Amino acid sequence: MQFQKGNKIKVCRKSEDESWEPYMDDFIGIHGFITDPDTSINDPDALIEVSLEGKGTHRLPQDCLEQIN
Amino acid sequence: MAICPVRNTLIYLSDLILSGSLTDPKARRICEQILHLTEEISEGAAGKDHLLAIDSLIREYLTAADSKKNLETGKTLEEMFSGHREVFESHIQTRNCPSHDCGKLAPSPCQMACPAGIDIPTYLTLIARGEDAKAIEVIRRDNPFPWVCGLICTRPCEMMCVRSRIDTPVSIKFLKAFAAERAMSEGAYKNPKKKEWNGKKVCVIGAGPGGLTAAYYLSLLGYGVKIIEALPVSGGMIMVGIPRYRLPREVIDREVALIEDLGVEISYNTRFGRDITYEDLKNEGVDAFFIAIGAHKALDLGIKGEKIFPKVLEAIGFLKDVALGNHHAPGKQVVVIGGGNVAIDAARTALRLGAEKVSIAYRRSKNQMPADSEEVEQAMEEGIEFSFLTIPKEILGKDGTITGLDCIKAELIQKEGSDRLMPVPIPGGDFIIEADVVISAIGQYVDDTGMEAFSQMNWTRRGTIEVNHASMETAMPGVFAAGDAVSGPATVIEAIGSGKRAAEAIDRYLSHIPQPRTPKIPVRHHMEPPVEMTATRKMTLKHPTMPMLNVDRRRTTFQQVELGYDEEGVRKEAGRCLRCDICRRCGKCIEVCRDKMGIDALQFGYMDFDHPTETDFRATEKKCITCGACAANCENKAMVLEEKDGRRNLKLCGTLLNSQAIQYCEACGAFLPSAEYLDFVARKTGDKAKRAETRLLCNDCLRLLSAKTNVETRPAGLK
Amino acid sequence: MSKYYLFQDTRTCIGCHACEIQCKSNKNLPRGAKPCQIIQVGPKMINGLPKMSFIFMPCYHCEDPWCVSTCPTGAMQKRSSDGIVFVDKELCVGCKTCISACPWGAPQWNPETGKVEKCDYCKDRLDAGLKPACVTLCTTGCLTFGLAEDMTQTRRVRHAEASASFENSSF
Repeated sequence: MQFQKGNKIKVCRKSEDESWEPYMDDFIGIHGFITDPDTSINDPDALIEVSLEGKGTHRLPQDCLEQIN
Repeated sequence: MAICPVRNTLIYLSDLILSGSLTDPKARRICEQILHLTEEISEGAAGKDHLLAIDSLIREYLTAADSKKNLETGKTLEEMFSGHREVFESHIQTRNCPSHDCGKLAPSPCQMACPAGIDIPTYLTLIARGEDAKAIEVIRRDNPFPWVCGLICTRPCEMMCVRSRIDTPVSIKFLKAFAAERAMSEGAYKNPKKKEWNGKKVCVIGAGPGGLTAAYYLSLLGYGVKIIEALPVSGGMIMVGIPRYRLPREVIDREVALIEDLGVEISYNTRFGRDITYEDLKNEGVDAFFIAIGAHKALDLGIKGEKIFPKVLEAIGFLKDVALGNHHAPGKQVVVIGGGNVAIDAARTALRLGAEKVSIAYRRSKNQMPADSEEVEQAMEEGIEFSFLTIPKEILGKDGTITGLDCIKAELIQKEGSDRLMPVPIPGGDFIIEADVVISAIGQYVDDTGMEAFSQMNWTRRGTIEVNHASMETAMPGVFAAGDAVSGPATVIEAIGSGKRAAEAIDRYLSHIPQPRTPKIPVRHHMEPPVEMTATRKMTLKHPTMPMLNVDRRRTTFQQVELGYDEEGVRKEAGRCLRCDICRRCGKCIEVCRDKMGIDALQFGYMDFDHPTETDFRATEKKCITCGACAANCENKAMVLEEKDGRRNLKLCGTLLNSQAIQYCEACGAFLPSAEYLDFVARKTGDKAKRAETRLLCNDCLRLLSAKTNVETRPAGLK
Repeated sequence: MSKYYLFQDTRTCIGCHACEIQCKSNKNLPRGAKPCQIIQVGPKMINGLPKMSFIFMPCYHCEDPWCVSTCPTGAMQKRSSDGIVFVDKELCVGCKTCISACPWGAPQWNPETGKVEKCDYCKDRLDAGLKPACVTLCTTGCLTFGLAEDMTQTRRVRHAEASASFENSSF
């Protein structure tokens, strides 16, 4: 999945990535926007910045996100 | 008072602290710490140790209490926490306040989007009113770099701006820069008062945005701060990564100088691990370390020829050289490889240094470019050429001199099992871009040289420092890290946000207070009354266009490209803010007016998050009868009905939606609804309402009148 | 009209306002809202003596109430079983049109809840077999509540007694 700035997303699952921390479990199911995708090489493995409704702005691994309309 | 005991305790504590009645500094400190912990319980950010920590703080308070009054306060606090223990516990466990009292101060979407959590609606309102210095004070509670960020922030706030659902987002970013510049020029940009030195010392490694931010908040809290910086300048990436035409050096210097004014000591040209060691610093009495070394090492291209030619540069190193004063053109024909902001910065810098032709080679198409669209546009205006769908294959040349970049044309293809478009080379699509310099800008990583001293610290597979993000603590006690060193290459505002979080965590660590379970959700500090204006003005204020330096000068000098709005433009722009901190867009007003009252006067399409429809504040007055049902049902008092100067005015966050003449009771002069309202009532009651009384009377007078009639019409015997 | 009648014997009423207090504390109302109210009329000089009356003003529970027809949300209703006019708080949005429509000033504004309050003869108490709050603690017992048919009887008896008393007797 390649995310771009402004994409509307949902945190759909727990990530398998090591960067996933227990408090992020609270984010599952929450909607938000991509505010800063990987700015250099569109790396699908990079952590990207998302702003989540009611939860603030965080950097998350991409495998826990899905694009919604 | 609220129903929720957590909220009540918060109100009690903040009133107590604000009242100034806590004259004993120790009592005050304890109360502030309890308030802090309670805030986190109220926000759902508390961990399981919070209540225990509060208990022990209260015990400390009671032991130290030297007056009857202090003792009583302590007892009250004890009762508050023990009497409703289960409510506090459920707030911590479920992170939910059943009575919704704890959500009342919910921050606006822009504030929530800001990685530093700046209280945006408050400072926009202050800027709209011309109170620039006060606006800067508000910003600096969460971000010590309002001027820097006003020029270069990636502005996630604007992306979330609710105003964009009406027309265009408020230009939040630049308004900050204007306020900072104005306050600085007037000598009103000042540091807040810092606390007395508490005898503790923190060493910050790296004078970038993250390190400087932590230094700022730590020194305000009373810590002695020493910054170790490898470069001869401060600012980190904002100084050596961002070119001067986007961010003038004076802006960084002035804001860094304010941090130095707080007593922060910066050792330049000092590389940690080489020029100064962990042991040296420990011997100096450093109690905690904060690592904010950024991500300054460039990734290799991995193509043929990369290591042969001296004129294969990496963008980060090139930009750093230029920033440190080397203003020689790298060559005549420059090719930059990459599609991010760094690639654009390198290309535009090369052009300004006198390169005759500069092009950017990027693997995907323009739409996929991760760089800011404004940056790309500005680069195009300046004559930078873009070669999209271009995969570099080999750097060509002879005798150590580059002659060109051998590339292959690509097409974007969706591979099976992937929803990502991948650039795939087109067979026979080889071509050569003539060049004598190749600059690679395909990403950076953290340079871990010298970090061996932090032996217990863990590194991630991405080569970044592993931390707990709620506290920015590494696995090594007393060692914290933030910024790009933790996230990998990210944004300035994220570094600032995490630097602030780290400062708070270091303060907790050194005060033996438990760390929060989750990163802090931005909190509103107070509520500024909204700017009042007519619905027409609110709707017709338009986003000003940014005046730009002319292209000739942009191609030849490092002068700032974006010249900034004028004062009138700034004040107007700030007035476009919808104050989403007051109105939470629950839509209850629309629902009441349309579905309950059957009037449907409120055309606020922007309130529907998922399916916004048209908004027009001016439309309200066409149907509205100023009944006030919308205001009576607005939980946040965003919608208000006020009676002033003979008018009934309906306002939404200061925007005057409707104004109708008040009528008066013909007997006592009390306020009565408007004629439009009484028409509405008369239409509903229809011809039944043929009253004996033709005067317009208030409720009380009507009762009085009917009581009198009752007496007067009674049969004689009963009088 | 509702099938009930709340009778006030104005000759006995001393204007102590206990009914108002009872009503407000039963409904837990803030300042301002008075579903029932004692209105003092007078004093007036009658036959050389100052006289005044205290009139008990609840809601009349009209047959065809304007407050019900004006209410846009259907919150103001007439109970079909006994004709009591009442506000369903869940439906009330606080537009106050009932207040403007009522010629007697019966619906009252509750500034704390942002909704309308009015006399509903304490229908919850009636349903539990009790009397309206105002009646229960009337100091002089001047307020009586019952079915309309019984109450006219009471009034007649009182009037007859008054007419037949020696002081007022014409013989």
